[in-house]
Amino acid sequence: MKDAISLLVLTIVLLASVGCANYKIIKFTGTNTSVSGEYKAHSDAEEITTMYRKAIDSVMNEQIGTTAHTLTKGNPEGRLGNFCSDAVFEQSLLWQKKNGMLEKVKLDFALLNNGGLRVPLDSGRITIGNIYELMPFENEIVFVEISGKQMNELMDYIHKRTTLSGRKSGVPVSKNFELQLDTINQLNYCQINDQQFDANQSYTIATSDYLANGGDQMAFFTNPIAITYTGIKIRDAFIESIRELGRKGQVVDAKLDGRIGYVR
Amino acid sequence: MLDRREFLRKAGLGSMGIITLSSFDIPEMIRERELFCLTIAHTNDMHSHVDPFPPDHSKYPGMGGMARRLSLIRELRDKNPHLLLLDSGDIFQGTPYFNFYGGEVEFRLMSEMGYDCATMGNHDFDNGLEGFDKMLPYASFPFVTSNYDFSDTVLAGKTHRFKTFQRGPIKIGIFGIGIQLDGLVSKPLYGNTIHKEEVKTANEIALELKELDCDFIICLSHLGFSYSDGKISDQILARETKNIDLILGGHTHTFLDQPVAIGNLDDKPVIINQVGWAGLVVGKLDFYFDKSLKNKWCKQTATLPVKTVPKK
Repeated sequence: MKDAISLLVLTIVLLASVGCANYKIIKFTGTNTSVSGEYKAHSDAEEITTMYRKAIDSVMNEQIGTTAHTLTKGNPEGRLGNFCSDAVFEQSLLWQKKNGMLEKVKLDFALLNNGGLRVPLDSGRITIGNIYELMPFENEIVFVEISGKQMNELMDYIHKRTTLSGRKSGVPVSKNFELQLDTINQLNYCQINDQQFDANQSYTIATSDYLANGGDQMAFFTNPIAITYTGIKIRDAFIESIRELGRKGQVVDAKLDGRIGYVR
Repeated sequence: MLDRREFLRKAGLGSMGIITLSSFDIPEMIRERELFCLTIAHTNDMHSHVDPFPPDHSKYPGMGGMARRLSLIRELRDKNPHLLLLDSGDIFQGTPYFNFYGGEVEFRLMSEMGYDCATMGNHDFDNGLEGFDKMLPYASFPFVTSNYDFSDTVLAGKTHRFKTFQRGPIKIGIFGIGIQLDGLVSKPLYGNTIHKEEVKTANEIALELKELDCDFIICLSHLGFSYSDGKISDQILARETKNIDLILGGHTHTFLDQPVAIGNLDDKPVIINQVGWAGLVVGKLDFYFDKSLKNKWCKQTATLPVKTVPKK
């Protein structure tokens, strides 16, 4: 990037060889120029932007809570992924309660992807703006019911994304999903809500519509038994969870608890 | 006409595939003749970065910003009124400007800058086809989406297979090649959009543009610069097509230090450029045309090397 930032001028001669019908190109120069402070903000653009910027800023600067630690992504687990997937699970339960859906759909756990969590949350005050940076996408929470066979594919996916060289992103899951990876024998030991995983059973997962549609190569979601759209934006779930802690006088204190780990 | 191999030989292809052009003579010849300079300025993956990055940003402190870009573009246009201003997609998504206003701010500012043409990236589908459609009134420039068939969607007839532009004596044809949406964008967002094979579509449209007597053919691509697994990219597109002179890319957020040249099916060079993302860099390409050089080629002066990518 450093090189790209610096002004770079390139001149080459194409020797009349670029194909054009009637005219010959005899010379070509390429310059990739950084947009730096060297160029003044043009008032014609500022005039357009100001009104929008003011409206956004007034919303973004509101503090909604505080975090005890800097929350970052991690592999096999990270504080950021743990907090975010727990928040999605809790807010999903609340939504179910509100809509009388607790009996209808039994939610088992939540799963997100680290690629969708765009920045860490720095320790200290958390503003709405921070959450927009963390989750700029307009994705919503969906409940996806999948078979035991698809669950096995889900676990293999987590296994790969945790251990496979070049693909190690880690996969954020809520705390009621525990997975121990046996990397030598390529096996997964899984407990869901303190119950041994049962391949003959189906499971319902709260996730984002992006992933439910097979995003980030989550093919195990694409042919579900059932799918429920909640309309809750993932970002709003994060904001609500943080607000709720604030109302209780608590700070965000996401922990590493070994929900995904290795068999010793 | 000089073929690519001869071009490389004449230019003195060094090891590592780097051409170093040195000590050609007669710069006066350029001055004597009447030349036409076509300037192309371009961006990709601006991702709603209307404002500069904050001064304490870890990677790009205080960099970028569309109001500054407007100053830069106005400066370029003052120097050369024959400017083409182009974008290779992913205009949307990345800052609250998009979350709050859905692209209105980005399109209004791009219109103010006088963008001539753009293509759609995968994130331009983020509010669905309806979300994109709602923003179109704010864009004073057309979108070329040659390998997306929108005919069974709300965007039917609202984007173009290609556009042609006249700059001085030069007729320019521009088309757009978009990335496979399946697996990258949620199905409900792109609806009944049909994605057509990239190389075949590019060859068809480039030929059509050539037959329309275009002197210069540009592909706005959102395929990505290159991939290790052989997935379709700008480099592959360049190699496997003919009649394209320039590919302006996006998607992989690649900061090229300088444009690269790749030989196409006819062994003619195709220039590829991509300028990172977030409006941090603007690419500026000057092509000098000379009508008197028909069926000739001429030694000219070059000052710096161009990087070429060896043919596989």
